[in-house]
Parts: sequence; C-alpha cells; structure tokens
Amino acid sequence: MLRFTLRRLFSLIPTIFLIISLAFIIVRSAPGGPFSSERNTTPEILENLKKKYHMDESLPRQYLRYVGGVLQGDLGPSFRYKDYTVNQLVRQALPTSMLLGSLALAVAALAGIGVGILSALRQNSWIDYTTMSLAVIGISVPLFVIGPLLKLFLAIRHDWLPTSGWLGGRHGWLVLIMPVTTLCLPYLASIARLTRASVLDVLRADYIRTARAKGLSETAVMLRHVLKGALLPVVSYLGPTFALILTGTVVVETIFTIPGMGRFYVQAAFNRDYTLILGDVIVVSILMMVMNFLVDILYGFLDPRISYK
Amino acid sequence: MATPRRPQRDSLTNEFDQAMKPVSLWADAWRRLKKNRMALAGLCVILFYFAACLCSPVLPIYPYAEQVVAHQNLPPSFRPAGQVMIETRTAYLKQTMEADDRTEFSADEQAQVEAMVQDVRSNPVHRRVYLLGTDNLGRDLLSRILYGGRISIMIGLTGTLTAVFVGIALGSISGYVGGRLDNLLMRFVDIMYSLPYMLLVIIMMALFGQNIFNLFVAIALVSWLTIARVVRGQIISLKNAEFVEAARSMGASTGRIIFRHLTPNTLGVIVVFATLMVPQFIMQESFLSFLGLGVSAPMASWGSLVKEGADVMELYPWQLLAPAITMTVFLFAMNFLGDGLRDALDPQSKNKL
Amino acid sequence: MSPNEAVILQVKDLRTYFNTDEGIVKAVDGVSFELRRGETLGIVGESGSGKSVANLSVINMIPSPPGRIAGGEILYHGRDLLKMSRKEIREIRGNKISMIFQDPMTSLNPFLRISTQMIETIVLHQRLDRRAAREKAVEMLRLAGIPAPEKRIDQYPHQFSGGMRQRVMIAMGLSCNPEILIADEPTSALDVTIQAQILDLMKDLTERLGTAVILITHSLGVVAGTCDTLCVMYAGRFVERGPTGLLFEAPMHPYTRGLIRSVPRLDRADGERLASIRGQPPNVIDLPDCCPFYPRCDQAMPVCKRKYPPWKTLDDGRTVGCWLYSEDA
Repeated sequence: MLRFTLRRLFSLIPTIFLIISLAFIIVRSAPGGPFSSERNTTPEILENLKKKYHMDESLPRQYLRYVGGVLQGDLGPSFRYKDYTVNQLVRQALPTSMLLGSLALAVAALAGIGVGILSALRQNSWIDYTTMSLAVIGISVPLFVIGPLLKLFLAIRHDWLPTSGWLGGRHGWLVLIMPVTTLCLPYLASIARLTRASVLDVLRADYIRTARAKGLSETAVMLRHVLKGALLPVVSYLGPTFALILTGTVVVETIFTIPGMGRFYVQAAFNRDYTLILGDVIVVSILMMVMNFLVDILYGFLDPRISYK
Repeated sequence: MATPRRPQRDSLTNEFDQAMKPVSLWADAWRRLKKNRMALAGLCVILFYFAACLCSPVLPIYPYAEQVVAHQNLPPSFRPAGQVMIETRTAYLKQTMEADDRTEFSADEQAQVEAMVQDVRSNPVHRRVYLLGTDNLGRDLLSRILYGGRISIMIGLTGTLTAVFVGIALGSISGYVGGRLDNLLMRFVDIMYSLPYMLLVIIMMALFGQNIFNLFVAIALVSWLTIARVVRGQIISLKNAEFVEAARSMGASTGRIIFRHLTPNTLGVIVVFATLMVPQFIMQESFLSFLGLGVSAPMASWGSLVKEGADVMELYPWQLLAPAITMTVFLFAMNFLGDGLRDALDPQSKNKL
Repeated sequence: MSPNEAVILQVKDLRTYFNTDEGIVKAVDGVSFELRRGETLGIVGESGSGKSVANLSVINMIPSPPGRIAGGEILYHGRDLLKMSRKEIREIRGNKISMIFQDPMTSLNPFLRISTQMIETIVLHQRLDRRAAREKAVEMLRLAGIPAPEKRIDQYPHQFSGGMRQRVMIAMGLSCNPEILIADEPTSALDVTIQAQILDLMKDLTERLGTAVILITHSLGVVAGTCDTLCVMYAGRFVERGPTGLLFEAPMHPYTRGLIRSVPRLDRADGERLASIRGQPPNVIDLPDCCPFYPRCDQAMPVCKRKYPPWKTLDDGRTVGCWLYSEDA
C-alpha cells in the first residue's frame, strides 16, 4: 500500500516538469513582454529592468534558473505587481479559491448523488422525469450565463444578496451563496445523471438478482449490495470534476469579483506577468494531481478487485 | 436485429405466415428515437436554428455590424425605433425632472425632444423595428445574435468534425494495431489528459492573439482525446470477434478490416459523442469569449454577446437575456438530442431520459 | 425416491407474458408440472424456450414493468405462491425455495466478501447470531468441497476460480436447507471437466439433505445422469414429460426425438453426418394457433398447422402434446 502510494507520487513528478516546461515555452514564445506596456521607459531603464528580472540571460538559462527556484519553493517575483513575490500573491489568493472550489464540489457531490439515487429508485416517475430534465438544463447552461442571471435577479433586482466580494466583509457568509451555487450547478447535474445511470446499471446486474432470490428486503439490497458498486464510477468522476471546478473559478471569480487565483490568472495572462502565470499553472496543476491521486486511492479502497501490487 | 432469411419464402412472412419487417440498426434506432418526445423537440429546435442562421443573409434584418448611434441601447419592441427612442429619452428626462423636484420640462429639454421628433419624421432609418433591441453601439441585437449563432455553431461543428476524424483515425489504428504503437499513443493521451488544458488555452489565446484560427487550434487540440480513447476501446473489444476472423480468412487487408468492418460498428457511439461534443465546443468557445479571449470585434459569438450583456445588465437586462436564452436553448436542444440518440442506439441502456 | 412421495410443488397452467414494443411475448404459455419431495426434475429446452422465465415465475421474480404473470397457480404445500404478499414470499425465497444461476462470475457481488453474502442469508432466515451463522457457512463451504473454508470465506469472489465460485453458489443456495433448489443452467458457463464435478456435487448434497431439485438446462447430457423426471420445453410450453429413462429409450414427441438424435455419439460410424433439427425456433410474438414445432417436424400433418395439439397422458404416466398421439387428428 505504501509502495503503491510512493510509486504514484513519483510518477507525478515528470508530469509536473512537463507542465512547467510546456507553460514556460508557451509563455515565452508569445510576442511582447511584460514591459511592453510600460510608459515612459528609456532604453537604460528597460535594460535595468531586464537585468533585474534576469531577462538578459539566454532562454535556457532563464528556464533552469526558474526551475531551480521552483524546486526550492520559490516561484519568483511578480513582474507586474512590483512589490510582491508570486508566493505571496498565491498565498493570499489560494485559500479563497480552494474554499470556493471545495464547497462547490461538496455540494455538487452530495446533492448530485442524492438526487441521482432518488431518480433511479423512482425511474420513469414524475420525480425522475423532472429532475433529469432539470439536469440536462443544468449541464447546458454555461457558468457565465448562470452567474450574471443569478446576480441580476437576486442581487440587483431584489437586493437579497450582495453583488460581489468575499468573506470578511459586512455580509459575512451570505456572500458565498451565489458563487458557490453558480459553480456547483452544472456539476451537480452531471453527477446526478451519472449516479442515476450507474444505479440503474447495477440494479440490472446478475448479483442483484441473486440477492433478491435469497429473500433480502429491498432496503437491504439497496444499502448492502447496490450502493457500493454504483458509487464507484461517481467517485472516479470526482477527480475530473474538481479540475473542471477549478477552471470554472476563473469565470465565477470574475463575475462576482472574488479575489482568488482564477481572477489573478486571467489578469496575469493579459499583463504578460510570466512568473505569476507560471506560478498559477503550477499550483493549480499540483492541486488537480493531488485530487486525482486521492480519488484513485479512495477508489482502490472501495473496489476490492483493485490490488495494490 | 436481423431476422434469418428463408430462401424459399417470401421475405416478408415466415413459415407461420407472420409478417416480418426487415429491420436495420439505423431503422430500429430511428423508430426508438421517434418515441422520445424531448429528443424530437430538440431536433426540431436545432433544425430551426440551422435554417435561421443559414437564411440570415436573406432575412429582412439589419447588418450586424452597422452602428446607428442614435439607436443606442433601445429596448426590444414591435414598434418603430424612432418611437422607442423618443419614449426612452422622454422617460429619462422625466427622471431627471423628478430628481430636481420640477413638474415640467425645461426649455432645453423640450427642445431636445422636439428635435428628436423632427428627426424621426424625416429620417427613414428611424422606421426600423428592433425586435430584440440594440446594443451600446446601436447595432441590431437580433442580427448580432443570428450572426453570432452562425459563428458559434460553425465553431462547434467544425471543431467536432475535426476531433471526430482525428480521434477515429488515431483510435482505430491504435486499437487495431496494438503493441508498442498503441502503448505510445495511450501514454501520450494520458499525459495530455493530465494537463490543465483550459489554463493553457487561456495563456495561448491571451498571448498569441485572438483570432479565430488560434481559437480553433486551441480547442481542437485536446478534444480528439476522448473520441480516440472510446474508439480504441470499441475496436479492441471487437477486434477478436468472429466476423473479423471471417473477413481475414477471406483475405481482407488490415486497412480494409479497420475501415470497412470495425469502424462502422463504432459509429453509434461516435454519433452520440459527436452530438454531445458540439455543445461542449460551443461552451468552451463562449467561455473564452466571456473572458475576452475569444472572437474579437466586429465579429461576435454568443459568448461575446453574453459578455457584453453582462457588463450592462443592470441598466439593460435584455442585452444579457436575449443572447443567453438563445444560446442556452440551443445547447439543451443538442443535449436532449444527444441523450435521445444514445438511448435509441443502445437499447440495453435503461437511461430513458 | 419413490413415486409415492408427497407432492410439494404444483404448477398449474402458468402463463408469463412480456409487453414489448413489437407485441406481447408469451414466454411461458401454459406450463404445468409437479414436484415431489426429494425428486430431481429436469427442464430441457433451447435458448428462448421459456425455461428460465418459468422458474423465475415460481419465486415471483419476473421484472414487472415489461413482464407479468398472466395466469395459473403455483401451489407450494397447497398455498398459491402467486397470491402471497411480498413479505411472505421473501420468507420463502432463499429459505424454502432457493435458486442458483448460470454465471457464477456475475451472480456473486464482486464488492462483498463471501462471508458477508452467505451470512446475510443465514441470519435472515434461520435467526442465528452472526457467530453461529458463520460457522454454518463455513460448514457448507466445506461440504461443497472448498478447501480451507475458514480462511477462504473471507475472500472476495474474484479470488476464486469459476468452478469454485459455482461451489460457493451451491453452498449458499443450500445453506438454509431448502426444500426445493432451482438450478438455472448451473454448469453452462463452466469448462466441461468442471461440469461433471459440479453435477456430482449437486447430486451428492441434495441427496444428503433431501432437497428436491429443478434443473434447467439445454444439454441432454446434463439431465441424463441426474434427473428422475424430464420435461421438454418448446416455445413456451412443454411438449413431453416423463421419467428420464423412458424418454431416452423411446421418445415420443418429434422434437424430443430430434434432440436425442442430434447428440453426437461415439458409436456411430466415422464420416456419418451429424443429425440436426432443421429450421429455427419461432418468434413467440403473436404465434397463431398451431403446433409451434410443425415447420421443423418431419411428421407434420395438416391438423398441426391449424390447431395446437392437446396434452395427452399415456398409460405409463408419460404425457405428450402432439397430434400423432391424439385420435382427434
């Protein structure tokens, strides 16, 4: 078990390197630079700036320097926000995004699984029909349509919820409602559909027929025999869902003006703030990989057919 | 479910004189699809959209890029623009008047209104009717939505077709040939899967410039992965089936086996995937447009229209609602259709909805 | 087992229909038989003849939206199983009438240990506590020929081979000492070498415990050595019924004859063609009123095309449904 874990962790390292390198190449091959939008720079100032940020060195050297820094936990200074290092910016923004993302994932998973199981048990009833139609709508409406619409009706037209901001302000936790709802809805819908399909699949399995032939009550069949098998595909879907949620934070944070990683990322991309972009990509990639890793371990616990050899 | 042939008999009745309908896979699927009302409704909606977008150059609407400054931000209406313009102006002036605690217009304000009325009478452009209103540059929202629809749908379709072709080609070859080629390709797919794809696309679009080609390349780059995986899986499971042995024993070459025998069997799955991929593509493109990284002015896509609408939604909510609803309806029509196709082509599936 | 043993199960004119898009499938259309204490009854038929459906109907496990039991009675010790409440029939399933299925790979829950799956039945029906139930389960596994049962009971199904899994199924099926064991093609998914072992095991255990067995199969070889009575099924109905020995020696219905003739034999001359029954089984949707076998029958008569043959009981106790044996032809 321990060896399995270590081996998996080891295999993450080359992937991280690949991601860093890829991002580095993309970022540096783009036209323009972080200082192209500076005003009033004389050639000497430009030279000094370049020197300060080591941009006068050859590209491979810059790469090595950067990677070396990362390995020591230093993501470099921000090119744009002159007084901050990327580490500091990330430390500010990451907990916000993590909270937003985790809440959205938790709500999507719990509610989605619940709705899915209910629909499967009442297949073809009006409950099933309604929830599944709503689910299709849920996966069809993009985040950036839900968000502004919610904002329009709940915050602007009616003033029930604050339009923007984050915890720490005068609205307290109310400010969480709209962003978390927006972010979780499409994934709640997918998880509900997946759970329903999975439960229906398991209900058709031969071993459920055996369980019923032994005289077990429907409740015992559901709880002891159906749930475990049915939830497996859902569990393994949680990894990619988390990745999608992290991507979605980019939009949600923009709409609701939340100071998280997503918003920083887009701004950094526009500002060509290389180190911030790279730092962001690295942190988010690590998060996604950790989540996938945890999901794999969880799956291994639940499915006895997987061995750890 | 093909019924067995009896050479001596009329192919439409068996020995019990029971009528038998010869049924092909597609005819069977179509019959099942017809029963699914939501999917049919979805199909009709989609056909309607296609028709509207195709016909837009000949429809009596106004050019999508033409700006009429006087017609800025008009609400949707069945009445001519001139009238709406005057009403909006008057309402606004009334507000200022009440804010100042007056009960009638000042001379200046009255003159404004008079000038407007004159202009409306003389200038034919004010006789236009903007069914969905206008945006902040006086452009007809209806035609922008139609135009944006063409762009969005085109991106969705071409992206999906590319992904499907590339995915089928690579997946089939990989699945059938197996061995090292297969291993290599699957490792490549795994690595690409683990990349934070959207983030990289965002960087690319921001740094390399927003033109439709970049957009296209960026999105298509990763979408063939799923199809390749699915096709490969199907091919592998069919590879050792008996009809392949039969074909091989008759001397069919590898290429022929892959493309004439194995691929058609996977078509059902691919059709379903493709139908469900189109909305995904449209959503991705809209996502980028929303962040300001998609198509750029004067082109429009549904995503960029939603973005512009979201910016002014407090004052002019229809500029958000009109494109948002249009896009959403299309997406869920496609999703319903995709679901319906999946149920129709896979009768074992109990996913009735 | 003597013919004077008490009848414990009586199936009378059972009909089970399924509503499909293409029409009503009459999977079982008037099946009747009796089972005595300790008797082994074999039901033989091709795929699609309705044999599995008939037996699932006995314990009322037909999936209800498409299927329904449209008629007949199933009397177990005189009580009609079809009229029982859900609770009552659950007390019978696994306990008095137990059913085991064809594919042991998919019939056992891959996510639960064998111990869990066996103990839950015993605890449910025999009101033993978990420790006693576990001991009973281990004992059954030992009887079924599983080596080191105290250890293996805690393993998962995928850790057993196909033959072992079927032994587990049999042990599980017999663990509450049922009066009737219904075995639906228990050996069809197994290697030929293992088949014989499993059949021997079943015969041994059921004789020891005094269990009556309904053995469903498509293979004549399986029934030859194991069954006291044989029923041959075709297109949803029985065509012939009687003691196994008699049926093999002198089959009466043309279908039974065809079946027996088509079994390859070692004592035939080399190069002699294998016999088979020409044609295909019918589509059981909207069958007209005729003998469903007539298109494939060498001895078909004009009346066979017009009316369904009556069920005739002969002097030696055998019954057959064929116009050849009816004077009203």
